[in-house]
Amino acid sequence: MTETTTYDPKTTAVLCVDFYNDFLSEGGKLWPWVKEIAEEVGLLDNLRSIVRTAREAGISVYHVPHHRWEPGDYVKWKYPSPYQLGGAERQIFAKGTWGGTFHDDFQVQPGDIVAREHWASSGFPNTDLDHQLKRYGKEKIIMTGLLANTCLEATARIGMELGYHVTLVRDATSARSHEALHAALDIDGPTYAHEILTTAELVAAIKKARSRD
Amino acid sequence: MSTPVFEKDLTGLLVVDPYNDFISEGGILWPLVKEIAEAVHCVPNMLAILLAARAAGVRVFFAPHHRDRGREDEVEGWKYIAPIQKFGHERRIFGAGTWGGTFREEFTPLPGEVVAQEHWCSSGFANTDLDLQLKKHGIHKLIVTLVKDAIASYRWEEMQATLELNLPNYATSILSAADTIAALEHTTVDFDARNHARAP
Repeated sequence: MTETTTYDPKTTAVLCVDFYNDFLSEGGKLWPWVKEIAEEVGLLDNLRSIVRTAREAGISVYHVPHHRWEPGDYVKWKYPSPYQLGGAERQIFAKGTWGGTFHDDFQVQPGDIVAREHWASSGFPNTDLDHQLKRYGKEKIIMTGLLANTCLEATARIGMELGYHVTLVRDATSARSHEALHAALDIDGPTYAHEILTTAELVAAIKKARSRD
Repeated sequence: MSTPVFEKDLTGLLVVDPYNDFISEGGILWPLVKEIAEAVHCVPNMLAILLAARAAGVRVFFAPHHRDRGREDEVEGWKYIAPIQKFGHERRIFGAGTWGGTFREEFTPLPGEVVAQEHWCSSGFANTDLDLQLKKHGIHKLIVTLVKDAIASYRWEEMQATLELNLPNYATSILSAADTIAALEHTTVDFDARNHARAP
């Protein structure tokens, strides 16, 4: 890549997709799904580094949470998806439980935006995420979180369709298999994402933009 | 997976980008999809499903990609253009008013079939009236490119990613063309039987 995007804090947001204990913490229901790749790429350290760098630079942190399971979910739905049925069966991200709470290191801080919960994969449909980004003048979204080929990709793709500049971060996500990660980052990503960076490249780009101020 | 029931009044067939540039010999993108398209019999299967849907009285919807307008194209002034849009615009893929930007002859919409507004990038829903058109027609079930041998891609790896990794997360059914056609034929029979029962 010749020239990395400039991440002006005024127009940039970091999207934290599903930073739940069920996904990111030892003992979480889906941690076994993502553990292997997460440990390989140093996911938790990278997320911490991106969120910290963003906060220091004045880039807004947007939490993009999946629907928290409650009793009765999907029972009367006409067409729940396989993912929704599987999630309900295991009570993933259950409301009011530790698993449905954000990881300790990524608690909501004053000034952060928490979008409404999304029902399936993408953080945009049926939520206020688009509105929350537009009302603060955000044009560039930096995608972090899980899973690379489901919620993260669906949110990134719809974000592109809605006109946002989209950045994927290779080592700030995980998936259930290397094939799934590869599909998300190396097959699908290059068709729609404006930038695909590593955490180190992203952190450098954010710091560079900051030093120009 | 059991064969789904395609109720005539609830089901729509969605045909995505049946442009000459994609699925006809001589089209700009045909060399990219040809190998896989021929191996899975993509075009004959698409056509067979279209004909089966029409015969069953299942409404047909077309979701066409944006037709490129060359130098006058709106994307020329866009602040952030996606890689795939840049690629398409540089090659004037699906050019407005050209053969490549015309549906392949067998896929010409018939009167009463719905052509949604052109989509700007990958999704037929984003920024178009497709959702509205489906809902206005009472459609709840979509037969899309989710028919596993009526879609094509540039590389086998992409096909595998789509069919084996991503589709199972969100698709209610993943069928072959033959199973889809069988289910559509069943639709007609069911419908006639129901009508017959109502009006002895």
